[in-house]
Amino acid sequence: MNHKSSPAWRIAPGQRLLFQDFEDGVVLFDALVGSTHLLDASAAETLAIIGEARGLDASAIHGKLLERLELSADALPLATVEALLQRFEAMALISVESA
Amino acid sequence: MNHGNAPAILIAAISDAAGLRELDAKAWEALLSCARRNGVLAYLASRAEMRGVVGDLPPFARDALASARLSAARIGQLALWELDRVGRVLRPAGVTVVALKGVAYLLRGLPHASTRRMSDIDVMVRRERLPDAEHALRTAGWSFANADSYDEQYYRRWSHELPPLQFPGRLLALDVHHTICPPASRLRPDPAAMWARAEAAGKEGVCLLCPEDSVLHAAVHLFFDSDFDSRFREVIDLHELVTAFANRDAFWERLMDRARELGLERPLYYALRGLVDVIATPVPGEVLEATSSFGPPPRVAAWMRKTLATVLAPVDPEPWPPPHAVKLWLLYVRSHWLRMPAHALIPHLARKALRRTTAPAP
Amino acid sequence: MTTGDLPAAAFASRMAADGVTLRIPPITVRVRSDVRALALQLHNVYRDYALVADADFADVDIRILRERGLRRWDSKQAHFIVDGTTPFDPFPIEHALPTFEWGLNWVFAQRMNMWLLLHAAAVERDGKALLLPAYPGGGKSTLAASLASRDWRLLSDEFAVVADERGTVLPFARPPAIKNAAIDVLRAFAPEISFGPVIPNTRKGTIAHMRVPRASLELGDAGATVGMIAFPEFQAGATIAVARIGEADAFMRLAVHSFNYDVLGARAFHMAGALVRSCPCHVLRYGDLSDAHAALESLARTAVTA
Repeated sequence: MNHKSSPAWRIAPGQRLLFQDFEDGVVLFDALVGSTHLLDASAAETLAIIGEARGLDASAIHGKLLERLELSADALPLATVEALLQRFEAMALISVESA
Repeated sequence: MNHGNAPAILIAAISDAAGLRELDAKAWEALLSCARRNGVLAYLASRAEMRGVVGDLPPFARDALASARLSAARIGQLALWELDRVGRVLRPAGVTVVALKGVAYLLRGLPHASTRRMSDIDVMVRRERLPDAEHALRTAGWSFANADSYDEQYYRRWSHELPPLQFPGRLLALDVHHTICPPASRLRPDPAAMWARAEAAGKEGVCLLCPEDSVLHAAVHLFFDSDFDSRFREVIDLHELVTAFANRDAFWERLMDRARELGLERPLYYALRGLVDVIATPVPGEVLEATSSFGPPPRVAAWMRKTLATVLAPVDPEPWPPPHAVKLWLLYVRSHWLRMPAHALIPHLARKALRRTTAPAP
Repeated sequence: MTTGDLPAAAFASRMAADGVTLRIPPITVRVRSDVRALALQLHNVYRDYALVADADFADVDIRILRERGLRRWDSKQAHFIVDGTTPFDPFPIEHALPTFEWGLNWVFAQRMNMWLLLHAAAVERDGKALLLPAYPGGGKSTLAASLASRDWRLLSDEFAVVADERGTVLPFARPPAIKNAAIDVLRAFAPEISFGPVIPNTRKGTIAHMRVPRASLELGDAGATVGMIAFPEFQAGATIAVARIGEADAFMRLAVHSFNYDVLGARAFHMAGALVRSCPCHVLRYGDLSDAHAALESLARTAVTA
């Protein structure tokens, strides 16, 4: 498994994510750390995708995201999604699926 | 306002929370105030929960207990988060930590762990890794709180830890230790021995002191750390540790052997007697017997035992200002004796006393 | 019996002896002090509050005592004592009243985690509460005081006490601390307002406490339901500007303007969501109290018809 170059993602162990959808954004509460975050649609949808299917890598997540949000890859490049995943990992919302 | 002996009510309530049902409003107010004063209100709440009596209590009591429980639980959450952030930085630097005290109790899942007020988390690293740890943490954003250069010198030379580190915007400070006793004190438990017996904590790069070392560390901390305001809360910590481990096979023998091995017989001697005298922890009689040789000469032992029982008991918020200043001062001096050789102690105390009267109010 | 029913001298003696217990909905507060000036000031600004006789239980017990002992030359200082501790440094006895008020706020904010406490002023009319969350120094006390001098009931100038997921707001009405230039502004706006003493040189400048109008205290413990949320931003000389904001925006602002959102965790998350869904949320930038009042009246009319 090509672990380093394309890690598979999961919601972090012990994490519990609560969402509230509003017209102007999604508010997320992460029960593990006790933090509240304001997310845009693509960030919220990314977490929803990871929550639904463990073990997807950035590319697969990107694909599903484009589908669900009806966007082209120009509008939402893979690099943006990769950066988002790194940020989520730093916030302990998601983690790399161990082999 | 005379409401009987609040510390006694507190100890009775901790020992058997069913007694809370009998309290009238006056007694409740005294109890809540005493519990707050000693930092154990959330702990009292958890005792009431475990005994199943919360539903029988008056609303004002339920609310006070529940509020304290929530505040403390939040601190526990922040402590684990702080440790998570520390691990993120020290793991790539190849520095393993031993989690100590409050954050260790949380990792162990001790029932009282999330009832503790904390202002910082404590970790231990190997002495030779201390510079790397300090560098990695400061690069990642932690900084030393505004200590003047004397404090920093004091910390680095006499203490067993770096000056407290603070990550901006976060509540809890970080204390990085390299041993559990000040290097200059007469107690010199070998950190290598503690590392050798350290246990996994379920988190990469983090371990825990073995049960015996956890108890001994708590005992050392209780008696030889110079903070006097949280004595009773630390007695509770010791009580909970001992209670958690007492049923393990041969725990008491291992504890006594380990105390001998690390040269920590005296703190263990005081800890066990303190537990028995203050909250009647069920320490087996044969263990008390076997540790009587760990104590000081009989004349000192009698005086110390009496003094400690007074000092370790919950502080009564009444009257204000509180008495016992003299006894506390004596113990303060003694604890400092253990931190520094005499020739360094006197000038240091003199300088601290001077600072207290001339420093601007924070 | 209210504070004012007791002669000032008797009030002061009680306060110096076993203390005086006041009902400040939703809590009971016992105060003891040997600072006679403070007792007389409290007798003034808490005139219409109910005294609790033979109180067995006080939610908060505060003592304000002169410094004693060896440092007699320092006895112009006093201590704030709660649960046998002094959480603040000693202070000049002239600052006893503002210190009591700040200290009581501090204690309240720590002990009341059965409610979501927002850093907000709150006023009520016709059973509906208007919440005004703002940063310290943002003018909410002055705005709340001015509203209370009109036909709004003052719920609080400092804490919006949200009791449940249905948006019930409880009062915690205490004499608003009006600062510096705002004192004269408020006097001009509502000349009938009674103030406590004007106290200079506090850490927040010059302070005067407005006596809470009797009308605001008549409903006692009764709460209200959230009907409006407006985030006030005072800017001297600014023209009035009212803007509706999105629910997510309002949510994050509420989380920031709270004392114990973090402590309440998931419960606060749900309560805040319910609040922003219950009514439109606005930002209100103003430089003049009359403008602010007019804007709020307009919002209130829209809220009624919505």
